[in-house]
Amino acid sequence: MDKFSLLQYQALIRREILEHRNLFILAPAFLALILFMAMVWIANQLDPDDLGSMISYLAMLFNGLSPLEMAPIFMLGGIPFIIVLFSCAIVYLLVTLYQDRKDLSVLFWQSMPVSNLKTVLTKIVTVGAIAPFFYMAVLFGFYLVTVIWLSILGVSHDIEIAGIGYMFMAVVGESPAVIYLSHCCHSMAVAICWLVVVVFCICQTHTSYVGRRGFYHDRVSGGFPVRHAISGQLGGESCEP
Amino acid sequence: MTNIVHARSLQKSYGQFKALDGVDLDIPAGSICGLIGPNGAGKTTTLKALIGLCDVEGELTVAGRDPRVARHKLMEEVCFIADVGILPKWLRVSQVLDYVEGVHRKFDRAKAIKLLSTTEIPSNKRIKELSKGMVTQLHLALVMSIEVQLLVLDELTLGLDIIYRKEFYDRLLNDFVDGNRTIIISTHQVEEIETLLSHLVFIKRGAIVLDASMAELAEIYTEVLVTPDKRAQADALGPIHVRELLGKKSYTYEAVPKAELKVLGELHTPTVADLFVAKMKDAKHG
Repeated sequence: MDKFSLLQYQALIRREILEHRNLFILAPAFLALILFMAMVWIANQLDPDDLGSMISYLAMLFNGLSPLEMAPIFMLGGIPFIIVLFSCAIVYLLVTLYQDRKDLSVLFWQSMPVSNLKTVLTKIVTVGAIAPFFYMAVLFGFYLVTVIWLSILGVSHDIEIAGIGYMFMAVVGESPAVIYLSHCCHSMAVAICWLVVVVFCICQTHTSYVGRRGFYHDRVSGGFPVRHAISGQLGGESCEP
Repeated sequence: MTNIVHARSLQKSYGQFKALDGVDLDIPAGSICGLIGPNGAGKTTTLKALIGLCDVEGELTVAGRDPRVARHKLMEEVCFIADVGILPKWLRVSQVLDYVEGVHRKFDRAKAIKLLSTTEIPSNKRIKELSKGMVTQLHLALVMSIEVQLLVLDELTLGLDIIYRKEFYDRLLNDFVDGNRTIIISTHQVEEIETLLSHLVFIKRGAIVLDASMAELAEIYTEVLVTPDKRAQADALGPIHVRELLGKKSYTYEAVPKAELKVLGELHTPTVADLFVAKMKDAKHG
């Protein structure tokens, strides 16, 4: 495989992100916004004394914890994000091949020198490694903003915020990797399920045929008739020098 | 001259319907080939088979490769534009350029930008915001900027107005044709492309009824305007098509020596449109 062949992935992945930025970027950003607004709203509803004691409890909790000990807490905070990523990954994998066939753009994509195997791998990499990166970036930003917000609240309530300082260190130092890996596990699992269960129906892309047998059938099999299930492409791929 | 397309007994069925029923095809490299047939004759299926977008049975070689084995390798040598706007509607013009530049090693971005600057296509617009003519122009600019051996155009000018069509063919001839590159154009509007072509293929009901260069055509087919007194003689020579023409009759012959026909009247080469009608009728009767 030469250099250009590898560079192609860059363009292919960029295309996936552009096409599905709602799922990969806007969805986590929207979730973070909602969560943050919810926290601010709850903080405003609380009695100032209660709020003060809650923050000092949090500060105490984090005080002296090693980053490794904080990791589970960060992963806990990432649960809503993982749920959204999980759902978006499923939606993405179900529509990604079908959409091209429905609007006939498959004829354009297929008229470019990109093999079907490469197209499928791109989708796996996009959903298994690139999407978690965006979710991680958003969640990291969310933690950062939250910690800063907490310290501002702490200062305004005259609370010892050393623990929050630890929290801040942990967020900056450890959380990106922890969040990324925990997200990857989930989306990669979805991607591999997709690969195993449907790729044999989907890989047969020698046709622009779009199946119209029903909502689920069309999406799960990428719009291909199931009798085309055995892929000529994967076989053809191995024939290459 | 070598053949860039070589096909023997291609078969393709959609359920009961036989879209291709034994297509034999030889298209010489460097030619401008018209693939002409009525609606539903199998034009699009043939073209899709040539570029590996549709599985067919039979022997098939395009630019030295079997399109069914490694479509992506073949696509480095072949470009395809279809009758319907197939560019993804959500992409912006500049993003299309980015994409093609990223995946096609023979793409020359500077050339594409130069070609686009002669049109009114704004680079920040999405494809869905462009008119149909603009989408075609954009796609054409893309493929013109790729150094390929073979360009496949499927009913491309359908839905374009006459000004766009003229401009399109002019540009095609000026920018793409250089004697080495081959173009295959499918259409059912014969008159429009007649003057461009150097090779002609008629397809009917999934089978090829004519496959010849324009030069061969002039030798094989003859049209004679016959006055009423010579009709019996003209009929005896076995015309493939007869049509009424202002009191006279026009007879079209296939592979009848010109010397024999001379006695009937003035000889000339039938137009592609007349030949098309003759051949389509011919195949129906045969």
